[in-house]
This record gives sequence, structure tokens and C-alpha cells, in this order.
Amino acid sequence: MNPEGVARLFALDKMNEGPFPEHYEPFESPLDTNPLHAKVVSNPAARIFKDDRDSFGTAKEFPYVATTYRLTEHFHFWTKHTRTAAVLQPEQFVEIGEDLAREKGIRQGDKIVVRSKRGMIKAKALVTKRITALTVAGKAVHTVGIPIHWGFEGLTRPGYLANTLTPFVGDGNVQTPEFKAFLVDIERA
Amino acid sequence: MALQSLDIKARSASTFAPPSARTTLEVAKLIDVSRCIGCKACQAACMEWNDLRDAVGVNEGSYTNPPDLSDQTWTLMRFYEEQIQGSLQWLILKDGCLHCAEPGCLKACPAPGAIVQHSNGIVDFHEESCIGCGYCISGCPFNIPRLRKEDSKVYKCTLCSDRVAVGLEPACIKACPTQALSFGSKETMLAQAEHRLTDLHERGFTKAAVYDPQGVGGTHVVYVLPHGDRPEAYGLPKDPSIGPLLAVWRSWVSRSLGVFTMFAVLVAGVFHYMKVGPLEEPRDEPRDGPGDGQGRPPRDASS
Ligand code: SF4
Ligand code: SF4
Ligand code: SF4
Repeated sequence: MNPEGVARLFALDKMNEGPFPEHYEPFESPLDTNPLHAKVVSNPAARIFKDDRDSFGTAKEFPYVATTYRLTEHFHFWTKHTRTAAVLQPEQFVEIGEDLAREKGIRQGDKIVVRSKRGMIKAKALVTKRITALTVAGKAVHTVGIPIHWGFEGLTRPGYLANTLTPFVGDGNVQTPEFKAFLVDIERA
Repeated sequence: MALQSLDIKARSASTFAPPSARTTLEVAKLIDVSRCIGCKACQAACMEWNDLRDAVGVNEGSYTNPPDLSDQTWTLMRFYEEQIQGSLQWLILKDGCLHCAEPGCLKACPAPGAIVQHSNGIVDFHEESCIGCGYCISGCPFNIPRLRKEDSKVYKCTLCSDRVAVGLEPACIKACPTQALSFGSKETMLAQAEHRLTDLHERGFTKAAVYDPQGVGGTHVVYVLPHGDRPEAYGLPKDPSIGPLLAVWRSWVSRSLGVFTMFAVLVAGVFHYMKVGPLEEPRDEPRDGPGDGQGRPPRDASS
């Protein structure tokens, strides 16, 4: 504790934004607005090239939120070449909630197509209770979970690069790409 | 083949006096389900140590891969999504042999020495003596042993008897990053399990329990289940037992029944002979038609 009775926070003056966090909607958002401040919807400090901005989809065309992540069985795109890891997680899949699966007539293990404005992948559907629809600003929002790891050759079954779907956005300070929130549509393959 | 540093206490389809020069500790593997993150490091370690490579399969809409135990998969992480007390639980169970104190597999096995139980509690299959009848599969209350089609022999987790014999912990234990798996004497493992229960009870898992089913005399793989009142939710039988039929099998009842049946068949045979006399072969009639003259059946012109 400092003599004045409060904590201190130091930040470099080299930052483009911050140091306090602020909520912005992702550039591809299921909402038309930012529920916290409608005037500034997405991050004004983010790095986006003009042409990339043209490749953003809208919630009308691509109604579902997608996110990408890793699995414990694989490390990035490397371990597909390891037989044991390939046995433990052999084939590309995406996770969807039961509600969305029902709406789309998708059953466990069906092959589905996931599309964004930038590209498409095909993968097996893993229908799960762990992903539920969220109600955001009075609207049901479904999430599609997309593990990376596939694409390129390996000992697993062949798959698609998850990053054919993701948008080209770099965050204001360190250019971390916005791969955790974007819009897609899905259907049975 | 027995391991020199492990004494054998029971052997399938054999009666023998177990060696008694030394006493061994009963060992146990403790699987604390509440700590498991489902990373499958144990499953990979089992494949590595035991030189097992299952086929690269397909995803059937589940994290459980391969889809089942097999001659190449001796331990398998099974994933279940269950609603328990109003909240969703992602249950992850490390499936594999429990190394029962009264192993149904061993009791059911008719091949001498194909299944042995070591004095430390490990139940081991000695495949060179296995005749591939699959009785152990029906004898096991946990659905563990798997028949390999290619060699008609049955395989399952050995509790890494080869490692334990030289003072190492099993491969899966060594690989686990969360200490969900531990190995030691059964006594210390049970004490550790009790300790975990206290912790889980404090954290609100009031039904947490130790799974060491007494219906099979207790096991040498013991689970700590956060929802211990519902082992079925984890795919484990609630009250496993080796079944009344199996208990009769190889007991004096079945043996006397066997001897009685043999005797009865003999007596019946003698009476039959006295009444009916010897069996007469009917004389072969000469064949007509397109045979080859040596009794082989006629063949299609196309073959
Ligand atoms: S779990 Fe099954 S295979 Fe393992 S010792 Fe018990 S009866 Fe035998
Ligand atoms: S004890 Fe050995 S054989 Fe059994 S599951 Fe673990 S690594 Fe595999
Ligand atoms: S290694 Fe440990 S944490 Fe990982 S799946 Fe096996 S028991 Fe669970």
C-alpha cells in the first residue's frame, strides 16, 4: 500500500490504447451495436487494412459466433505427425450446442460445412451440452467452437485450416489477431 | 511367463501352492477423477510403454478416441455429459482393468496359466497360454478384456507389471500432469483417497466416494468419484459381482457334475450297445451323374 492509501498503475506512453480495459464488440459481431456505448462499436485503435475490412461478414449472412481454440491432444499444427497423438484425436471436428444442432438438423458425427465471408471448412459435428445459446441484448446467440490443429498433411485424417475462416484484425497494442470472435454460418455437408 | 520378482498367488484353471518365502505389499493405482482434466497423457504413455498403436480412427462426435478399449488400447479416457443435481457435469473416466481381488476373468478362464494374479494384487494375462475362447470377457464385470482377431488372444492393462516388478510406477502414473493418478501400497492409496474425500466434501461434493467395489473383493485400481452415489454416470457398475454362475464354475459342484455326466454317458453307451448292437455302415451305391468318380461333389462349369 502506498502512503496516499491507493494502488498505483504504471503504463508506457507507447500504448495505442489502455491501460484500462474497455469493451468493444468484435469487428464481426452478432449485434449491430455495442451495448455499453452505441457510438463506438468496435475498437478504433485496432489495425485493419482497408481491403480486409471488405472481407467482414454481417450477422444477417453469418448468424453464428465462432471461436477457435486448441485441444490437449495436439500442439498447434505439429503433432499430427505423431502417431500416438493422431490416434488420440484423429479427425477434425467442430463443437455446436444441442439447440443449434436441432435447429439445423445436425446429428452427432455428421459432416458439416462452416462458412465465413473469407472461406469454408468441412468437419465432423460434435454436438455438446457444454455450449448453450446465450441471450445477448434480447437475442439468442449460438456459438460454434472450432479446434485448430488440422490442415496441412499429417498422420491424422486430412482436414481444413481453421484460419481460412478467421478475420484479419490486429489489436491496438500488440497486433494479436481477432481469432476468438467472428461470424460464421453452418449447414450439413 | 512369470516375472521373477513377482510371486504368483492364483493361476487360471490350476491348483497349486503359492510360494511363501516373502510377503509382498498389495499395490494400488488411485484415480482421482476430481483432478483429471482429460488430457489423455496417460493414454499416450500406455501406448508408448506397451508399444501399442491403435488405428487412426474417425471422430464420431466425441472426445473419446479411439471409441472403445481394444487389444491396442488398454486404457481409454471416456467422456460423459451428465446433468447432476441441476448442473451440467463433464465426467471423465479413465477406463481400464481394475485388477480385482477376486477376478472374474481369472475364475472364468479354462486355459491353465493364461491369467495369473500376483501376490501384489496385479492380474496379468499371459497371452502365450491364451486359447482365445473369450470366457474371461464374459467373466469380467467391467467389460475390460478385448480379443485380438489376428492372433485370437485376449489383452488388457497389465498395471505395468513389468515396471512394478522393478520398482517403477506404471507408465500412466508417471505421465499424469495433474496428479490425478497415484500409485503405491493399497493402504496408502486408500488413506490418500480418504484425504481427498474430506477435501471434496468441504468443496460441496457431498456425495463424493471411493470406488473399491467389495462385490469383487475390492480392486487394485481405486477411484475417487466426486459423484460417488452414481458410479453408473461414469460408466462403472454400481454393485459389480462375478455372478452366481461363475462362482459355481470350477467349484466342486461343477466338477462333480462333470464327472457324473461323463459316467452317465458311458453307462448310456453300454446300454445302447446291448440293445441296438454295433453301428453298420450302409453300402455305398454307385453314383450316376457328373461327379469325378472319387466321391467329390459335381462342380459348376464356371469354377
Ligand atoms: S476388471 Fe475384469 S479383466 Fe480386470 S481383473 Fe477384474 S475381472 Fe479381470
Ligand atoms: S498401468 Fe500400464 S498398462 Fe495399465 S493403463 Fe497404465 S500404462 Fe497402461
Ligand atoms: S494423464 Fe491424468 S489428467 Fe490427463 S487424462 Fe490421464 S488421468 Fe486425466
